[in-house]
Amino acid sequence: MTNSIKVERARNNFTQADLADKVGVSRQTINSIETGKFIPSTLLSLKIAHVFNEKVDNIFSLEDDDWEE
Amino acid sequence: MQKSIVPSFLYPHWTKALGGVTILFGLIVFFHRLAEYQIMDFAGLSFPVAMGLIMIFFSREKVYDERIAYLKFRSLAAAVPLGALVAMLINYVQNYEGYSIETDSWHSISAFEYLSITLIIAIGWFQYLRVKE
Repeated sequence: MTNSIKVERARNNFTQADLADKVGVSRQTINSIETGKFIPSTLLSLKIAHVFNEKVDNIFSLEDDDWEE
Repeated sequence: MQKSIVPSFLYPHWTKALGGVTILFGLIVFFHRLAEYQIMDFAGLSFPVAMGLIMIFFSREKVYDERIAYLKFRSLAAAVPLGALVAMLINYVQNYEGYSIETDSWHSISAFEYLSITLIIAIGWFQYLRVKE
């Protein structure tokens, strides 16, 4: 799964810490999501999209290998 | 919307301090018995240590979110089989000479010792994952 959180942060002039504060997680969690090490829950994904005033699927998108077992 | 159940089953953050005190109490009793009576009772020590480690591992971190819960689960999933392997190795070494029916000399580590080993591995692995990932 890929995401455009870093791009959206830059567009909205947010740091990782700013975004982390707004959605109620640690800065390390935002960093792990951006680098693809951690896939967030539906609730957290919705919160992140809400902060950027976007739809979830504009922020997160599936890749081909996400369909493999 | 119903909140995630992940954070709700963990002990509060202050339980970590209680866990530390429990382990300290166990160590004081262990060393007191060792100094006064020359009794080296690891099985007796393992109960307060295991209880303390449970309180430390299963309590909330200062910053607690779903990534921390995920890393705790991963570290526990790694530690349980690894702890079992360590327990098997300890039992193997203890019984290397074989069972003697005359002395009934079969040794095995206790459940609390296994639990302590497993939770020490889990806490160490969790700290490693938290820094690395």
